[in-house]
Amino acid sequence: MTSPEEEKHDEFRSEFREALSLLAQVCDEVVRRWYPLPVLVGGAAVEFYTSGDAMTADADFVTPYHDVFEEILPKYGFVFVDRPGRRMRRFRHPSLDLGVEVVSDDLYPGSDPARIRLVRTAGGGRIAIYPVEDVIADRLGQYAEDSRAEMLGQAIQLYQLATELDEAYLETRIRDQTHGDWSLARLKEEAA
Amino acid sequence: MIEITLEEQERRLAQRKAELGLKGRRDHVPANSGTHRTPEKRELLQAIQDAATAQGRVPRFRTS
Repeated sequence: MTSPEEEKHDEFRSEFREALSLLAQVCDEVVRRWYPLPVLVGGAAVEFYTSGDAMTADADFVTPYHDVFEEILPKYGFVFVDRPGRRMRRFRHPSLDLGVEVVSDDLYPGSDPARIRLVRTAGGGRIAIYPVEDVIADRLGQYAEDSRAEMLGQAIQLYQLATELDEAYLETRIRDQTHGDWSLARLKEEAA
Repeated sequence: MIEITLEEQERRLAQRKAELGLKGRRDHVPANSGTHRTPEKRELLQAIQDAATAQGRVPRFRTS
């Protein structure tokens, strides 16, 4: 049996919901200006696919249209953290305690945009989240590179909690991201 | 793209967590150690920490 308080832990944290909802509004405005949706990657994507406490205080996005995204962020309460003019600028939201930055123009080569999750938030906004297969492969790729145990642990949790995995695609992404060091079979062994 | 609502994702995860014996837990995902953060990322997280501290409160997300 779990207590009502523990059962709340099976829901997304309120601050995570608030963050996604606000970021979805920003992304919706990007689309209203006829640009493609930025894609949320990194720790926030891990939290979305696990409902664990994996998100640090920043949300990383991928979009080639930095200027459009960064022009919109202040309208939703985000403020510059550093001087304007840098190509990749950083923002924070003073009351949500959330940082936002664009970390790349493009997704990794081989990522399939059709696998991106388009998530509708409570406020009605939509936010694009990196495919779970890519997030797993990214974590394994980082583990293969520097042996950080938390990266392998995150990959295992993501794999175990995933409900709509495309295993053929996951296999390809794992091999790409780990330069052939890892396979889906090896991940399954680790997760067993 | 594959469309889903936040509520549907929450429901699916709750079911999977129950099947895996993780029901009621939020600490099942190992947190980033932070050892590989870029200097720019560290600055961003420090700015968030400093702003919250100046307001006399703890940041709502982890900054360490």
